[in-house]
Amino acid sequence: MTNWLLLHYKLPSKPSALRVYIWRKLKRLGAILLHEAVWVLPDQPRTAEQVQWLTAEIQEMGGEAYFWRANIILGEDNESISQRFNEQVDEVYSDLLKKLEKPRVDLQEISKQYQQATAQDFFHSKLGLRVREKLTSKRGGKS
Amino acid sequence: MKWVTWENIGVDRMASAWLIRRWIDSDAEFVFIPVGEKPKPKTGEPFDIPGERYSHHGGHCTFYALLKENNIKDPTLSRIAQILDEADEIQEVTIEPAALGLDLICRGLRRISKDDFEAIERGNLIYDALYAQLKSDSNLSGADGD
Repeated sequence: MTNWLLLHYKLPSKPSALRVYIWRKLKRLGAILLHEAVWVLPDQPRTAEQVQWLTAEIQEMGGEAYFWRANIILGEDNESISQRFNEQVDEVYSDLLKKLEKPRVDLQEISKQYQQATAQDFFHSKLGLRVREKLTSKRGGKS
Repeated sequence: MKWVTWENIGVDRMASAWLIRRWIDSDAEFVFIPVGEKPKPKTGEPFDIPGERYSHHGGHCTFYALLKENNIKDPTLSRIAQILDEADEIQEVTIEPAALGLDLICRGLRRISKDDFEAIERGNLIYDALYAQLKSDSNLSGADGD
């Protein structure tokens, strides 16, 4: 059974920079915001660790935060939630594949974006492998 | 003195235990309590447990807090703190490619160790090595100016 990590929190309304800071961290982590209410992530050692520290940070900022470990009873099934995470990274991967088709590409920049995407690729999207193959075949030198 | 942390250690706690033993308290004894348990003051000094003094603060890892609170000024240790910040916190600026590798190695080290005590002992070798190499590299380039 897939377990999920849920986070919801309330921050003081000012300064607004704190809200942006936390929001950006969650996006960077690859979390999905459901119904503008609850942030969701798959329960994996790394995500659990990161959300734990984020919760502590929100509390330190004077906010209130709840960090839950949950499994779903009704609503979407586990597969379709996983699918949402895949769609999120696949969007980045498709964009990278398109860029790799162009005659002149900035391979360093694409490699960096690829690495960032893989950190959010919790369910091992197949598209990610294609980007990886394309990237490695493009590097210079003899194979 | 006794130092308390949650069991099943990773990159930051392995590094912090090394730092404590080598730089802060050479007689340090470590105590591991279940994840989520609030440490009792009598057990010892807590580290890397949310809400404690030696913990994550303002987007920095526990190793960083240990350096700061103990006023340890060593450029190589500061560099390790930067690596750990990137390994164990969500960062927008990533300038230390070693961070992900170190995280991976420490997780794996815990996995192949029979308990947290063994993981800490083995972790000491990793951090001794990291410290020695970073120090040597910075001497060659003169970047730290000391």
